[in-house]
Amino acid sequence: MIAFPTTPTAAVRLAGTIRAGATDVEERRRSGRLNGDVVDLRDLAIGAPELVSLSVSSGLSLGALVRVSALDTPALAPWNGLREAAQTLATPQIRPVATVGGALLQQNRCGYLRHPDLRAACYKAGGGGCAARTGDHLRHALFDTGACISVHPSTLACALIAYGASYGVQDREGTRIAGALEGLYGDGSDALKDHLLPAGTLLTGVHIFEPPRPAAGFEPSAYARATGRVWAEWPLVEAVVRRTTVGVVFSVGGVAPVPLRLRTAERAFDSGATVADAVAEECASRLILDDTRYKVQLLVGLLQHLLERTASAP
Amino acid sequence: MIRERLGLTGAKEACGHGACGACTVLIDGVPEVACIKPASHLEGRDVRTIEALSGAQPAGPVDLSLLHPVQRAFLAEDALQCGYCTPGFVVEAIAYYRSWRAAHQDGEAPPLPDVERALSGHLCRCGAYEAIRVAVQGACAGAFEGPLAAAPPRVDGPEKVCGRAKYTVDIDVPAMAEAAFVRTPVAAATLTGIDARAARAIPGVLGVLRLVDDGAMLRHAAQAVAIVVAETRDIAKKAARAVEVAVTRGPVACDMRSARAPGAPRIYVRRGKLPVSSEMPVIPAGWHGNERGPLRSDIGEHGGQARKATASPAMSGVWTTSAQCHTALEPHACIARWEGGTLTVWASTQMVRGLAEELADRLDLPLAHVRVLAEHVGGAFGAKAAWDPHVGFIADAARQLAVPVRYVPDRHEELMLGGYRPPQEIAVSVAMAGNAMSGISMETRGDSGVAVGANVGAIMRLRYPNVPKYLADYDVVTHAPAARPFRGPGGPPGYFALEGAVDQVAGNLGLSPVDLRRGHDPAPGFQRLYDWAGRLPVWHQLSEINRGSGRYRVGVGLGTASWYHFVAAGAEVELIADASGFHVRTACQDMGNGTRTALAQAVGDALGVDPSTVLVEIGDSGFVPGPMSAGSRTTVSVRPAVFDAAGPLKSALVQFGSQALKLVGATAGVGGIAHAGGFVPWAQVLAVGPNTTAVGKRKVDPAGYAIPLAIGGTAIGRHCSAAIQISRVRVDTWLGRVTVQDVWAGFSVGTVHSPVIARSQAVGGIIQSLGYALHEERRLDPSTGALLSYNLEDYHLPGIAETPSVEVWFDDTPIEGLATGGIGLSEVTTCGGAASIANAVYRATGWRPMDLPIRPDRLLAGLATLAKPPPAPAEAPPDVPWGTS
Ligand SMILES: Cc1cc2nc3c(=O)[nH]c(=O)nc-3n(C[C@H](O)[C@H](O)[C@H](O)COP(=O)(O)OP(=O)(O)OC[C@H]3O[C@@H](n4cnc5c(N)ncnc54)[C@H](O)[C@@H]3O)c2cc1C
Ligand code: SF4
Ligand code: FES
Ligand code: FES
Repeated sequence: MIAFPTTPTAAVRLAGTIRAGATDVEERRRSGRLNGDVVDLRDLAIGAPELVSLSVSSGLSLGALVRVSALDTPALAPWNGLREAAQTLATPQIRPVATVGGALLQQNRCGYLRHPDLRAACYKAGGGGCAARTGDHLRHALFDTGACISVHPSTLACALIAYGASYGVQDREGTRIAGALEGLYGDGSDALKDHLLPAGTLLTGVHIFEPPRPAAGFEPSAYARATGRVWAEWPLVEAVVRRTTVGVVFSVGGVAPVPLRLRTAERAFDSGATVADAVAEECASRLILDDTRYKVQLLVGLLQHLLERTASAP
Repeated sequence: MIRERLGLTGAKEACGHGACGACTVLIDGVPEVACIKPASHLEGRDVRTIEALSGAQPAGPVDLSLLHPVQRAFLAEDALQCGYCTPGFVVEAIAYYRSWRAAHQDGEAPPLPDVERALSGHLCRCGAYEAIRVAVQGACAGAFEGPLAAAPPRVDGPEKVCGRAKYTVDIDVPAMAEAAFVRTPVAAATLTGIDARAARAIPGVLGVLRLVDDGAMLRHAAQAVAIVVAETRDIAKKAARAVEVAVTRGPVACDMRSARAPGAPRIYVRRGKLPVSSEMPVIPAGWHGNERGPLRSDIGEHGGQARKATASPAMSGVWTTSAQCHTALEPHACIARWEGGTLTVWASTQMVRGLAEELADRLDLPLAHVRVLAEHVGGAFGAKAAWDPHVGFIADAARQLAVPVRYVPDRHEELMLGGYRPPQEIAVSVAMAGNAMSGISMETRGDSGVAVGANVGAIMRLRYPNVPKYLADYDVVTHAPAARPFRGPGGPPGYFALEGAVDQVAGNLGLSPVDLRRGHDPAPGFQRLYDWAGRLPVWHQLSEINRGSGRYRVGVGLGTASWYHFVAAGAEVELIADASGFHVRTACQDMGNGTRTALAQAVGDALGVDPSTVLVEIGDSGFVPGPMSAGSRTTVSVRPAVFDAAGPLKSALVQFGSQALKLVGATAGVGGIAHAGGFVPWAQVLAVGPNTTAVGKRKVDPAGYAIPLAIGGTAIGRHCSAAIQISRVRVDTWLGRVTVQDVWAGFSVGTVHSPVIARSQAVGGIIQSLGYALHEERRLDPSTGALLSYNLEDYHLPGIAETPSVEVWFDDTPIEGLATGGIGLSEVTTCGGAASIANAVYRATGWRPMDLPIRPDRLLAGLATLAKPPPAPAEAPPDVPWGTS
């Protein structure tokens, strides 16, 4: 059954898979990997206009139903890394459909998880093991943080985390700011989940409360990914680099089952280490997978690239 | 939903998961993918498909003046081949055109990177990107607001740009049911049971038919074990998932390393007739475990001489390549309908005639009772030139269940089973005597999965004819699906290795890679290509190796290739003259290669009429037997047959016309009858005449064939084609990316009859070789043999932004003794590209890629081995000026 609630309150009373832009959900349904009821958010915009609004005041608020293409606006200039991330992810025909909420909560793209015949050997599909670990994981995680070694798919999460975003939810208890977006993903040790949002909870939006630093003028930040092709390819590594008055921010995707701030590397870089040394220090504190060790070098190259791009404020 | 329920088949489904853009429609003016759109999300919204954007088209021929300027631009620039991706591109480009023109004046064209970004969500397997970019720029600048100056070069272009061309997936047979296959999840399995009770109970299921018996060995994953037929495709798929397949699993060896390892499972215990991945006949050879060979392709004494010489080689190395999937955007779709004892099959095939013969043979029907139709084919590249078991299953199911049945493979099935170029491991040694090569030894191992026939040597023997060569091919069978011939089978991997070795020898010895080759290429075609290339500004850079140390390094590389002259001996065409004009008919097909255009042009040339007035009827096995379209043989086969038919047709028309119109001294002239009193155009003769037909045949070339006998209808003609490709690449040493910036490609194939179509085909071949060199890689799970790169997100086709600027040069010197003065073009255009790109990477960095594709991780690992750059030659400056940025 597919329900079309018109208010968030009604939505969280219904059981079923939440469907927003449907670019992820519908593919999973059509290929038979997702069955059961659907709670479609199509008509929520009427009852809950805040879910489709993008507002910029001292910070930034993005409703969960804001389309990714709407983030490509000059209004986002203070958060240039976020804007560039939104300009890059997926394809031009997906971005006007995909929502912020869906982009943050989508399922990861591990080939074993999404293969109709290999699900028995995948924790995230409810199976008992990780076939990728013993099989082919060339494009999987660099950091071995738990039983699952997939990479987190969300480009927007990588970008929003760089700016210290928080997220808001609504459930049967009501609506609230639930905490830092980083906390929505955890530390990558839970092999069963791509995010920790409980079922029956609606993500209402994300907020960057912290104004960009320095307050006068824009703080330089940028997003880029490492891929074989120029466009429309899932990243091997992606990152946002922010240069704030209190230090650099390295937020990365493609390296772990969760989007990640490389805090050890940030500290090392801030105290004068080269990027290569800073990344080496980060890696020394982590478990590294052999087949994806090449990502260390990519990470260094990508951060270097972004540091160059953010070397002077626009 | 738009396609099925509204019958608007212009938007195509190619991937079904948002990655290819073929299904793009405008929703409230914004281009969005339709394939993953729930129907409920379309309620109350303005949906425009390609049909709605093509003007109020009348029935009959497309009225070009009603088309959108973007569509006219696509036609004029020939920005399409098979046309399957075209509606999606056009819809997107129209939206882009609108936003660009709202903010810019006439004459202002958008910059290329802008266009590429806007179209980055669309894939074109034929590789028409270069012309697409130009078309979109031109349309945005306002160059196509008015009528076209000339007729579009591709005769079926108009129906393709407005979404009217009907492909097999678009055919709607009344009361048609849909099929889905039940497949084994793993390789190396023995079937122990199929339980279809749950599936049969699903409403809408018409039948579940078992295809193999218990106890059958299922060698590769995704092998069909049963077929489900249901009222809709969704029900069929759902029911197929509900069928339980029980197997016992054995050890899997789905790549060459595991199949050759000691104790490897035997893929075949008893070997019957194995599937074949080659276009050439498979010659018997001995077996050792899973390995078969050697198959020797060297000539006479050459093998021995080469082995002796390469015992002390100037260089040797092992090159490897990955499986490259054909993955044409139109899947191997088919429909079967029985009426009494006769069978009609619509199929996406490159051999309507051959498929009809196969079906007749297998179903034990007279050929006259089988008809195969393929009006338009959305790409093939060799994958649709062989018997597809599923066509037989569908025909069978349609007969048993007494309903027409359609099967449209999804992208997963297409990528797994639709064919691939076999991975190769190629050991090459080159011996030198002074500054010349004295011997080449190539030992190749090819993995065609459960098939055999991964020949390379038969192609390599064409190259450097005066150098003795030892050429030994081995097949290694594995637990992977059967490979199929892929455009230039054996060429791309073979030349990657051979041309890499030659380039390396030149690099090691400080020789010019051009001079070294030139000395071994006496053929005049090659000499003319070298002369042409010698005039290019980049020519002198081919010998340089960039010793720079900056982030970006640029290098220029050369790759050369040669290909056979294949002819469909005896292929026929029928010319018809009636009151409506000239028609040409043959049981042939157009997969984007331009068969229709070649036929129209041949008729135009033979009769002196405007090709755009010729009605071309192909794609029907009921017509006189035409060629299959493989091995670059179509044009060189049908054109002479048209001329052969034109002679008698003209005589008949002259004879009739001179009587009916009372002409004196009538003879056939260009475009009509010349007579004592003047000239009568054909149209006037046809207006009064009875219908006249003549059948022409592809006769042997004046120079004869290289091998007097045609094997399976294929003759090998005299002469070979020659190609050289020069690529300039930029290597990003930080992010491990190779960008091909420019390509200069020269082809010596004799006379080129349709230069625009030929250029499109050449660029397409170059783009496919770029994908092979840098991006495309099939990946199988080692423990189950299941496909991991099962969609177009994980199988990486080159996109529009990967497309270099391309200069194509045709030598265009007629080749004496050939019926058309020329040789087929398709294959040779894709043969030297990977070599040229890999050699350019070497020239850019000093590191030689030995494994394809040149992925970022491989490139970074390779560069790391250069930690200490080799010392620069004494007199050269450490940084070549063009080398770094
Ligand atoms: C070719 C291609 C390339 C892509 N490349 C990238 C890329 O580079 N980077 C990237 O990040 N993504 C990429 N994507 C994925 C794309 O970003 C997601 O499919 C999309 O963002 C999902 O958004 P949606 O609104 O369509 O989500 P849906 O499909 O509707 O939902 C996705 C998930 O989120 C849940 N959900 C959605 N909204 C809410 C909510 N408000 N509250 C609670 N749960 C919710 C759903 O239950 C579901 O589990 C790519 C996709 C394609 C097809
Ligand atoms: S990496 Fe994660 S998603 Fe992939 S198979 Fe392992 S557990 Fe499943
Ligand atoms: S079919 Fe919809 S994007 Fe490929
Ligand atoms: S023309 Fe683009 S796929 Fe064939």
